[in-house]
Amino acid sequence: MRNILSRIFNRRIMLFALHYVAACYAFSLVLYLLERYFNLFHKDMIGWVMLGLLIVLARVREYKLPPARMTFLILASLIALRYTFWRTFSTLVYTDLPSMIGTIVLYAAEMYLVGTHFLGIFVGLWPLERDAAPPEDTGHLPTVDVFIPTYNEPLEMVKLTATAAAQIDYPADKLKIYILDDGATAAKRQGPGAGEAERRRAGMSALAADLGISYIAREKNEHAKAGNVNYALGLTGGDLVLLLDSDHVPTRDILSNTVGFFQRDPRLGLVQTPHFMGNPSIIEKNIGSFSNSPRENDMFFNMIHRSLDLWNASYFCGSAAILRRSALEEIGGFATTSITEDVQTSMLLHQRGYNSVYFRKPMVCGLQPNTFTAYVIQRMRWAQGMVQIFMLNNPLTRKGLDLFQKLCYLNACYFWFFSFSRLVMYFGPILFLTFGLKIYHASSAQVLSYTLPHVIAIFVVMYFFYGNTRRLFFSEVYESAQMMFMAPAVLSTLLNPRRPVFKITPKEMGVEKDELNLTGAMPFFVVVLANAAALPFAVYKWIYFPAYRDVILIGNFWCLYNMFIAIMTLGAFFERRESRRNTRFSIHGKAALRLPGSGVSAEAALVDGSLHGLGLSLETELSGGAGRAEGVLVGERAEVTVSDSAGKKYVFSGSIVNTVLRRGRRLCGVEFDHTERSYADAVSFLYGDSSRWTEMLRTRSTGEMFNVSSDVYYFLKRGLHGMLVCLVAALRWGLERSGSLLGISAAGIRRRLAPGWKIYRWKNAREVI
Amino acid sequence: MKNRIMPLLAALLFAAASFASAGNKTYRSSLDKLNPHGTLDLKCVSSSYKISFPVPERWTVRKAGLLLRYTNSSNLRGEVSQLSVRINDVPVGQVKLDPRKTEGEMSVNIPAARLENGYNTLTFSVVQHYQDNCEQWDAPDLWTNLQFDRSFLELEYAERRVPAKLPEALGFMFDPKALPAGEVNVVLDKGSRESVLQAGVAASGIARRFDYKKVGFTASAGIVPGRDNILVGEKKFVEPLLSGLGAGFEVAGPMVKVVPLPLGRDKEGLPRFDRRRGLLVIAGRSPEELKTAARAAAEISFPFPGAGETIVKEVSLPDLPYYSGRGHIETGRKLTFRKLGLPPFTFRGIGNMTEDFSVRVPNDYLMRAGKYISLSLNFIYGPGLKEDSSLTVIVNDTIAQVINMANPAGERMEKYKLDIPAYLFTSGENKIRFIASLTPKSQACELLMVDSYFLTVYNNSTFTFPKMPHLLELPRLELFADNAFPFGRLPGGGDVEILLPESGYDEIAAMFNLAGFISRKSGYPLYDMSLSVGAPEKRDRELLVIGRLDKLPEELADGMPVALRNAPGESEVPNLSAKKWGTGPLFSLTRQIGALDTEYGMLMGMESPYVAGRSVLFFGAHSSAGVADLSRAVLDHDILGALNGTVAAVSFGSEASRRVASLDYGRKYWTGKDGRLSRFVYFMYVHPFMYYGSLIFLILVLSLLLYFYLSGIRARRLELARRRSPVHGGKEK
Repeated sequence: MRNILSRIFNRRIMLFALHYVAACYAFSLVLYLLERYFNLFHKDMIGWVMLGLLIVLARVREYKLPPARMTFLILASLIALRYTFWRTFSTLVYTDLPSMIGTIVLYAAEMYLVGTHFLGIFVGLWPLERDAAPPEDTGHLPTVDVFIPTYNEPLEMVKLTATAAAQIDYPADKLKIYILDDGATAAKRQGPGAGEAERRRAGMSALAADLGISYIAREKNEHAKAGNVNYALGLTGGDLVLLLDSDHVPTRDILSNTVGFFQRDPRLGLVQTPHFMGNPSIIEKNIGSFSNSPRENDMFFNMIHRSLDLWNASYFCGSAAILRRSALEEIGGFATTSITEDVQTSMLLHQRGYNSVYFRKPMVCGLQPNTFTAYVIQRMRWAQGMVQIFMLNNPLTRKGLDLFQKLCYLNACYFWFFSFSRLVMYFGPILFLTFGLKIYHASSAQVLSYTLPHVIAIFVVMYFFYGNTRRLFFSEVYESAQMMFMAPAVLSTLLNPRRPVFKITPKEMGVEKDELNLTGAMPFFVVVLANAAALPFAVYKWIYFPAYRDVILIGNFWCLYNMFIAIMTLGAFFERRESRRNTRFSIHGKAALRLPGSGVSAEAALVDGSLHGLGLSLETELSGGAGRAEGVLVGERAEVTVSDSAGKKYVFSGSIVNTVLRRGRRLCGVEFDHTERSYADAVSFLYGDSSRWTEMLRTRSTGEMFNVSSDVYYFLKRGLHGMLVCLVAALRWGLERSGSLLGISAAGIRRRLAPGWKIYRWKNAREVI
Repeated sequence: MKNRIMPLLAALLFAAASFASAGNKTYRSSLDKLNPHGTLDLKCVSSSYKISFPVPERWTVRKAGLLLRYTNSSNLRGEVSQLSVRINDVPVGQVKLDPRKTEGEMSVNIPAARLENGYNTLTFSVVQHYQDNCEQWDAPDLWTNLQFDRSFLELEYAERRVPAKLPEALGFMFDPKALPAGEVNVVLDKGSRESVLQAGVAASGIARRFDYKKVGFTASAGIVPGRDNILVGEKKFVEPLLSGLGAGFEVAGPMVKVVPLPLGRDKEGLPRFDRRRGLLVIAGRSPEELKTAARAAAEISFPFPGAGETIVKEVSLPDLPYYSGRGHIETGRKLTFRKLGLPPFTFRGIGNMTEDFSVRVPNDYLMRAGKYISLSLNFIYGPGLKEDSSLTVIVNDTIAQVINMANPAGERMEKYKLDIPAYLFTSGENKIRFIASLTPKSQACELLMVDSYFLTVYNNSTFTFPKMPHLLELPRLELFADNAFPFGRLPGGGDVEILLPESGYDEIAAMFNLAGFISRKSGYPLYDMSLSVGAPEKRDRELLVIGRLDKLPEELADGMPVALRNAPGESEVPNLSAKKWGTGPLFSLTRQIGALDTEYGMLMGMESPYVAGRSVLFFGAHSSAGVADLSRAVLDHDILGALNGTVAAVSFGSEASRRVASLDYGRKYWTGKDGRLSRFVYFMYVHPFMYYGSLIFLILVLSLLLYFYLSGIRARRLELARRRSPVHGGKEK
């Protein structure tokens, strides 16, 4: 009895109850009074005053931090709740069956968005920032197994990751590294493509031997990556497991920053760290925004995951995570029923009462899919996996999770239904303007009072949360670009949750030439054209149905907005040529350049670098020395001395491969002559220093992202260019296709259409992107 | 001989006629008293107008005549233009419309046999032409003006005997068709409060039987001849009284009985009765039985019993919620026209045609918010209409929506939805008018099949009033006049307390008049009202104070907006000084020595000093007789229409001299749902900036609560990462 009472009256529950009652009181106050007692003027005032306040607060730095942060978020919740209440109780009107169906579908799509908004606000209440947790008692350090599962990734890629893993700062006797090769299982070696599998096994084994690490290949490819790791778990015995994707290159301090967490909390099941992406996502690259914008996943790892950490709901993201073996063994290893085994594994750990930690310091550098197809395959896997979890292991019904964890996991699953609401939003106004379906029963005054403040508030909240990690309309573009592929995938998973199978993200695919992804672009041509076609109907209705001008106006704006987003999205489908070989980073620091041939030395600034070389900026032209002219000669031998943030010096030998004078500074590129040693040094210098990723992250996250006019202009410009390029590309594709049917070569078509091409040539199209 | 016989015959005929008309009475009324128009134009080629007039149940009409005065257009062609009169659709008179003599008079003898007890319809129709062949059907030359204010209906009638059976007698005596108004005397023992209360219940029940017809009550200790009487009391009062009049019987239980009106005994000691008037006896052996009898007398309408009396064992009354009074619409629900008592209506012909109905919105219904009343119409219109034909919806004389009937082939429309802004409606009675403007597509001179132009609105069309809050600023005497607000808010008088500072017969009669008024407005007798004498007892009620000005309880008198005296003394009198837009009228105050005119009574409203949101309405006059006269005067439509604001001085002399002076002076207060006022809601509504303030305050409080709560979670989360675990050799903090 006493236990029950103490549970009922403990501080946490009491505080929550108090909060809940106060929240209900405030909300009911708003809803009841706003709806029932105020005239439209006061309603407008409430809506716009709250929005104005929200905008002002969003720009005040102090409001990013608690407790002012809570004020902002409660205000945002009130605006959304106010809209939801009005939308639910004032606008759902039956007129006729088709309109009612449209109304319900639109309402459901809106409520999905409102739900996402509320979950987002809840999750983002107070992102947690943690300090590193270095090991404390070096005499009793836990043993760590590093697993690098691989399936079909090239040897070069695995070599990079394994080399970096071998350099991790941790006592050698406590650290074991394993390449888990699923591309050379016994089944593979005996089945079709056995030769390739054998060669792969040989290469990987040799690599492991060279690096002094272990190589494991199992019998069969069961349960994909999760099965691969589970197999390795049975063969190894480290206290902790660091899991790295084969293209996720770790820094040296990945364990020295995280192992301490496990020493301090015996119930800690996992520590997740960010996936720092060295290359832009395909959409960023295609739109051309990557040079000055954060990466797509920065929003998740910089903001959302920190927020999840507060609720003890930080989950495993498939790589760059350290997990406690005993916890994994308790839940039977990595989960295998979902194709997003990582999230499901975390959920099982949380269900068993294990804690999780998210430590924000970027300590792996990975690669994003570099084709739209690979990108879509990856996202579809995530979407299907999360929907599988939603259907088969719904977080809301899982025992062992507390309410907040349930909501966090629900948020993770719920997000992936966005494709449906996007589709509805794209075609909703067309249904009204073209077919006359009455799907949104509100006057323009009501829209002004309720809808507009709510919609703008959503953008303000997005800026508040993600202003440093995402541009204003980027989420719209990301989600739009994916929706046509996601909708059928998610729907099929909803209908048959056990059907999806793990499809590995293609890592090797590259884009050989600039080309239009017509499959992806075509639906957006349809969206643009359909919305554009609806506009004349709007004009017609405006003239002949003056009673409906309110809603016609709304529909019109809605169409224009849809066209704006669709045009921006079109730019994402024109894929630019990319060579995978050189992942080049902008790096900063000092270097000493010596030209052994002439004995000349100079101080230089580092500009960029890759595993194969460095870009340097010389403050002054080199001169002097026997037998050499002023300047730097291409082909000349060079020796570059650099040091990392810890002060460790590296000397790389190579030759000058290019040089150019720009703004009074001599820029030159040095290509390394690699030996095994220098390769390892290059890995250590470029990938081993987590400060480099931290600095890069900081640099690209501090820009001001929220500037409506410039963002609209920026995206519109890029979108229009993208659309023109896509149109030209589509035209060319069509002509070439028809030409080949008629027996005319592409060159012949280009020649015959030369005057036309001059107006907007392929080359131009490539340049504007 | 012949010369002698003829005068004799004439004398005999005159004598016979005089004998036949002996005891007959005459009722004469100008037609503008029977319809809302003083004059009316009948336009176009063909047009008609109907007036409905009642013939009371107790009348047997012997003769009826109509004198109709009119003016017609001088452009008419007299040979083919005609004015006709029909009674109950039977033609009884017609006259050519002569363009040379535009002022006309038409005298019609209406056959008495064509008149029925109940409502009769008088139809005035014109057919008007300005040329023989091709003419424009709606030419402005085509008009005839009916001058109802100078036209008269005269009925000569004899009175019938009161039926012997109780249900018929109730309908006969308390007849809504009574002309010109109902008059009832209530006989009771003023010393018995229970009898007074139950007599009030009975009076309110009787007033309901009169429906919209004005009924005046008097009260006395004995029978008043020449009018119907009700005797209400316990056995000990009723039996001796009736025995004394020679109409004695035993009260054997809760009894309702009707007898011819006893007039006492003649010289021979034989009882005399007026058989054309009735006495309704409501009696019981105990207060409880009296209550049962009074309730039954108010309710009996079914033709049972088949006798002149009944003993009532029990009366079960329905539960009536707030705002369910007569004609009140139910908010938040779709109401078909059928439920609102409307039949399907068809407009047939060409030109403008109207159809009216009204809905009653609770007086404290707050109509401010940006809400819409939804009207979903199902209708059909015929072919051949011009594109500008339309159906216009008018709410309270303001055009709300217009539907264009643009399809020349005709069309059936279902669920044609019109959103009417709520602000077009007012609390209380709302008039909704449909005007069909049917214009033929045919050119002038083409053959018109006028009847084929039609528009029918089906009565499965619906009205939906959204749920709205109840909040109202009072006092507003006009609401009392309109709907007996706030006393009719809960039908049945469950929240009505009547306070009589003194219980004389005049005050009691005034109470009956006002209870009857409330009952007629709410459509339900005041079964549950309470009565107190001297000082109020049930304080959480709407308080109706009826009495002399100098007898008011002090705590009420102190709160009255104007303290007028009925004896010479010093009074502070407000006078309207200026009307200022926005802030309302401005008053000057004069402190005067004097007294209220003895022919003036006062109506004043104020907030109850006992319960916030409850009202006190004071009816007072210089004397008790003045109080009774005042109560009868306020039943007059003209007086009711002039009541306004907080304070009204009403002169209750002869009908012609009655005047009202209303002032919107004094402290205002707010009332909310069911008469209760939530201070919170009041403040939020009346002071919206308080709302903003409290909103900000709540957001801040919530933020802090949330902050402290999350701080706890955060601290625990970070603590786990700081604590040293013994598992790996760390030390516990």
